[in-house]
Amino acid sequence: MTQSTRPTARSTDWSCSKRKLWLTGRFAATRLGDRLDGPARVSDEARASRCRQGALSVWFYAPYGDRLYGKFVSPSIVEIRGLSKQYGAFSALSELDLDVPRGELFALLGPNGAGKTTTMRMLMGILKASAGSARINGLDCFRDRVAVKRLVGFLPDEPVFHDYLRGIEIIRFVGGMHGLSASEINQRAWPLIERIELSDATEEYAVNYSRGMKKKLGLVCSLLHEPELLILDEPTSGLDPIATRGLNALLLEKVHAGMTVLLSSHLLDQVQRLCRRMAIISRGRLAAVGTLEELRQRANAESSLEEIFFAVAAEAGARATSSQPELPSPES
Amino acid sequence: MSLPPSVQRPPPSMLRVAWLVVTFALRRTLNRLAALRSQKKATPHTRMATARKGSTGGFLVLAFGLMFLFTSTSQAYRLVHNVAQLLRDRESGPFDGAAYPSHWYENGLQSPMLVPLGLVALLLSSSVALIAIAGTSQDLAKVDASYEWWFSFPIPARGLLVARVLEVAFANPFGWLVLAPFLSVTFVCAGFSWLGVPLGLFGTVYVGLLAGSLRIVTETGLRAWLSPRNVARLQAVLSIISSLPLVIVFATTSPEWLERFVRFARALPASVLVNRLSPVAMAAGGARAWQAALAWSALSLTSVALAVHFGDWALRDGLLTSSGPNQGSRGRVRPSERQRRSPFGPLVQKELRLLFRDRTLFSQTFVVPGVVLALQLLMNRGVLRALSESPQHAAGIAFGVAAYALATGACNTLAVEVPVLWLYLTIPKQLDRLLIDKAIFWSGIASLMALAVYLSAAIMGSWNPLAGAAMFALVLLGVTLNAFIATGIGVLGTRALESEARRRIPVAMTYLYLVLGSTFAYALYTPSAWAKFAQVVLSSLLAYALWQKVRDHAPFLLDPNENPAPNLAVADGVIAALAFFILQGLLTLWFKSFDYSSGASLLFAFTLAGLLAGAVILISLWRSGVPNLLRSVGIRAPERGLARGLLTGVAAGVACGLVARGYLGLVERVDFLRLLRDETVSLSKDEGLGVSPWFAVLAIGAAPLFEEFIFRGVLFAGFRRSFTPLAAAAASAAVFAIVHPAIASAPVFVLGFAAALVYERERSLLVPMAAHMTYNALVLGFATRGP
Repeated sequence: MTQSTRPTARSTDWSCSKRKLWLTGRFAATRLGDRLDGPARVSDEARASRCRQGALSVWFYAPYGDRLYGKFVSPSIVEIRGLSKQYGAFSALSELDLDVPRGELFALLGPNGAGKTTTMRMLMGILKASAGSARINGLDCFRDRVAVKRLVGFLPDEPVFHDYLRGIEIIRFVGGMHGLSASEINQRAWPLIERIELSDATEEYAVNYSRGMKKKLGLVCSLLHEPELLILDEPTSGLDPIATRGLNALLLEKVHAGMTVLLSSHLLDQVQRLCRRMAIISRGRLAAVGTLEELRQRANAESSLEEIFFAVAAEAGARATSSQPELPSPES
Repeated sequence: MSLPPSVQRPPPSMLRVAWLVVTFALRRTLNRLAALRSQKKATPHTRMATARKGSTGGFLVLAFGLMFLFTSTSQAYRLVHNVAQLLRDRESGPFDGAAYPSHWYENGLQSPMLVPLGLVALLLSSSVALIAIAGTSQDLAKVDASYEWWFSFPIPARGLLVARVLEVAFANPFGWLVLAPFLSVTFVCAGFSWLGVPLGLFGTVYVGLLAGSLRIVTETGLRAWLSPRNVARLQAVLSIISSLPLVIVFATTSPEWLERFVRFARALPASVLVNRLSPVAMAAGGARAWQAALAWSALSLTSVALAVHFGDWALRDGLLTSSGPNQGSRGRVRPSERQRRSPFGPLVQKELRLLFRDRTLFSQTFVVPGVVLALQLLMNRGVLRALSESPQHAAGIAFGVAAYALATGACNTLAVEVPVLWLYLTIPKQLDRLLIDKAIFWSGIASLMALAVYLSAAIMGSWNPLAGAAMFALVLLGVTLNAFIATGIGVLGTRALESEARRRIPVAMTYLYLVLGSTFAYALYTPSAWAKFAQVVLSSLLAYALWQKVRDHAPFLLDPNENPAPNLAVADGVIAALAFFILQGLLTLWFKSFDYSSGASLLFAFTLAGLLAGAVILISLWRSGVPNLLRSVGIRAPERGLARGLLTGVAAGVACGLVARGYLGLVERVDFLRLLRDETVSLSKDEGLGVSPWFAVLAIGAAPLFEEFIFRGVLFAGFRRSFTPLAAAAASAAVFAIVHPAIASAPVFVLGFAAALVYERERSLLVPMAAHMTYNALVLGFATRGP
């Protein structure tokens, strides 16, 4: 209904023709999470290996690599277009449009139940969108979910681990499932473990961890494969102040190294200090998006993020109430 | 100092608390039942984040529950009857010749019937108690999350403990499904007539209350006195012991063991088995009935009061929240330490660790099948002899043990992973691939168990294990297929969004697996190689159909309201084919009751079954919303025009007919095939199925119509979704071939293959129908002109 009439001018058409991709895209496709538009039944693994076989074409196109790369790579790593999720008659998310630029710390804010976790779960391909699309690096988050997971690390709000496994065993398991060798896992995991101060508990069963320690363990798991995008659902909840500061420093470091971080949080002062851009979601709709300055301009006030948040959330709430189908909308 | 009004308010009474807790639990159960029955109509702007997906699981649970109730009632009746029979046969013995079983209660407590039945009741009651204490899925060493929640209320612990007792007493399926039927049957047979049923239920509540008291005593006491690790050990031992009484009761179905059982019961002092507190005491009748009722009430109330008092005392230091039986070590570890190279991948390593650390899983996988086998060997000397003397039987028993072990581990594969599913969904692999790896893991474990049983039988009987190697290879194939069937059923039956671990997978799924998985035993014991082959194909088909569904559903496991796009699946083809053959069999029997010739009744039954099965499958596909239904099952014009399509079909039919002609020539020359042919022909002559006009109409008119719809329109289309055209054609042709007589299977396979290929090309059922008609006409012609 409203979906079909939406303007889609800004969206990039990634599903370019097979021939076009064949001619120019091999190099870019290898970089873009190994996706070629092959026949639908070819598995992602097979597609990836086919890309790897195309070493000759990579060599051939190498001089043009930058140009090709520039042609294919959007400045936004996450592109969400008209994303909606219905649970029965309740719409948890309606027509969300959002771009997360590469190499930035981006915050997703909003009251409880606004749709932040739903958005993240759709980005991870755990939920299927009722309408619209979410893409990461040009890959559809549901259809190409396997390829997406090579690029993305994810930490849920309350990570749960197996009852009978030690922390380090879980880390080795996750690394192994990402295809890392034992020595690679050791090289990557131990500095992280030391850094976030989990090294005392690696031989403890994860079920005995406190909430904050579980978060730390989940963070190590999500960073093991060195993802391009890190999706963190309330990463600081349950962490002590020292760990929170350490985590913030770690995230900034990763972002400087080129990683993109998308996080949701309720700690507005931290977000204000940490993130360049942020989006405020309320009742499943995008209420505001931009840098802190842009949000200030929008709210017409030289105010803190907290005040902006309250103003925007209240405004969005009022709009949502007035646009109920039973009531005539004042704008129209 | 005055307290604020909220503190001055007196706490709710114990009775009120118990009432609240029990009604809360009851409300939850009712809501769950209501959710099974209908989808709730959501009003706009109400949040329904966990709306249920449409599921038919509820009916299955209900059906299995009723089936179970029926079975246990009839088993109980048979037990009572057998005991009476046994005692009557011994009238010359120490008993007087009272008339069994109708008026045996007149003898009162002295009735010889009461002693063995009292022992059965004692065994079943102790089973109820042991299951309540060490039930399979709850961790005794861990404080229940709901316990912690209840303790945040300003109410004394006693109320909560009473509520816990009531919960155990009323919400124990084993008590209601096994003990209650037994007690009811006993009381009914004892002469209480219909009053026996409420008395049986009363007795079940009595036992449940005692079990609930025991439960809170152990729960609170053990946590206070034992280390969590020892509690877990004890629980593992108790969970094994809890199955023993039940096994003993089951053993009484064999007359030999019933006799031993009765002798044993009589050797015990009668007052232990039949006193006023025994659950069968009422059966003694007369004035003793109300005395027993009084004694029950008094004992259960006293025990609950004592247990609650004890629990309250044990909880004086609080809940003792230990985080579970696993305590690792804390402290700095150097990176290079504790690293061993493993030949297995990360998933298998993890599964092995869990299997050997999780004692419940370990005992259910390895110990319980072993105990069941050992009991069988003890009870039935024939089994022991067969095991040690015949490699064939040893292989069969090895299959049984392995298949039984799969019922818990493999069926629960997904259910135990549900909380950790998020972790799997961050890994760049399809979830169904991971589940396949797990199925392979379970097939490996079960195969090792089968091998262990087989080799120990070989050592015991000192025969060469290579003697039964072919049979054992078939066993390994069966175990592997069963691992896939068990995992598939488990995955499809798991409710990933269910927050309560116990309810994530219905027990009905385990029974379903045991029913479907045990059909493979037919392949092991049938002497016919063809039947063995057919069973292997059918089991593979079942496993494949399940896994196609698993692959469809895997991406939507955590999505509360999205389902995979409706599509034709192999499962639809299997259901259509099954419905067709079952209906055909039933209708043939029915039509035979009229005075038609057997050819005519066969034709009518075939046509009617085809129409009904076709209609049923079309309606069910239409209801599930398959897009372009008629086109996708091939009801449309041929791709390249009607004339060319039909011509292609006829040409394919002629080609297959020629192959069949060649095959008929081969049959004459090869002895083995000729014997098979003669056998088949004489069998069909016995049934009165010569070549008659009816048969010609059936073969040329009706068979192509319905068989093409089922095997090409639905089954081939289901395979085609995940296979290349040639593989899909071969798979559907293999199924098509095994439903025909063995002698005809080779040419029928060729026909099925060709028909599938022309169907793939023309997309219209008219074409394979034409091929099938031509082929059948040609073969009929060859057969009538032949010798």
